[in-house]
Amino acid sequence: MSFQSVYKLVFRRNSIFVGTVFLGALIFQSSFDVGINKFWNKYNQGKLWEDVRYKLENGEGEEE
Amino acid sequence: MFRNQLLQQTKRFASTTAKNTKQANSGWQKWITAGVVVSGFSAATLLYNDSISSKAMTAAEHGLHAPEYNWPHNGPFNSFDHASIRRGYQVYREVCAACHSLDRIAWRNMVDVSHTNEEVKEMSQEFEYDDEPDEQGNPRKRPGKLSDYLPGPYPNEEAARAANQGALPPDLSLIVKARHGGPDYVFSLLTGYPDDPPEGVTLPVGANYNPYFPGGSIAMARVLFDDMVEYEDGTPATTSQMAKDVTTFLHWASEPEMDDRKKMGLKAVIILSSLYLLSVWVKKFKWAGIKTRKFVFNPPSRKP
Repeated sequence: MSFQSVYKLVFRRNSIFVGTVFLGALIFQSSFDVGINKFWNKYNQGKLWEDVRYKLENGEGEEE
Repeated sequence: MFRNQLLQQTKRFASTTAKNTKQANSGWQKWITAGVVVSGFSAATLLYNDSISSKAMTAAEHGLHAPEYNWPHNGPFNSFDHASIRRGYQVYREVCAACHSLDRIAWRNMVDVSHTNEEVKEMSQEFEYDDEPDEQGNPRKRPGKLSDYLPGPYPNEEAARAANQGALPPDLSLIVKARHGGPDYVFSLLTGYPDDPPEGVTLPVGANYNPYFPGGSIAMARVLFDDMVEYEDGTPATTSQMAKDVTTFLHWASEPEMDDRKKMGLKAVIILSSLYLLSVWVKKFKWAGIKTRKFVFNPPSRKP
């Protein structure tokens, strides 16, 4: 049943099918990149350039 | 002579003349055999003599094996410690840059890695670079730009050797990649200078003793001492702290792409492994019908 509705919605017309593939790739890539970046920034918190710049801009010599 | 030999050799394969050539050869064949024996024995003797010297295949010959340090950027998901890169550049600029060049790093590489755009611009403008000549053809100088590469301390290799008693300070751009042990070796070398060389070690004039350096005698003297530089972020500038920072900086100089590479590798591993699992599932799905197929043979029943 559910497959049938997906079929009607996506697979029946080729233009919509290809469009779905392209849109899906676009959305997946950007969200995947955002997710990985989030993990990276959290995992390396305190070591990144953003942290160094933040310290530079908001009062120096406050490290450790 | 050689042509003659060749001729004889070819003749040798013809069976009729084989006996004659063998007799003709026997004179110089003896000499060749004797020569081979003599050179073989002398080579073996030399090698043996070399192997029984006290230095052969020891830590003194190859340098002490550097211990493994727990660098903040070790591991598949760890970025460089950028605050350490920033401090390391300061150490490089104030200490190492007196003798060592860093040819492969341009000023622009440091933007948003260790310094801001404005800071790097200011630092580059402190150095002079060759400009295009004026209308009369006289050479001109201009302040540095972001696109310039870091200037070295010497104009050429000969000048570098002349200033250092014949020893060439190596370029540090790729030094972490170019040495066994990488950052561990560089750190050990910088911090591993003993106060006095061990007894029995004789050094050439102007050389220093460092157990981590292959052979033990290194032209570079100990350069890092406590409180040599003053860090702007207030980190105490001990010898090991400075060595750690400058090693991190040099590691970054060798592998500026490391952060991006690790991030990209993480993405690639996730995507490729999920695609692999997907392909395994598709294969199982497609083969399921074939694998579970049963052939049933119903023998024709015999009618009475």
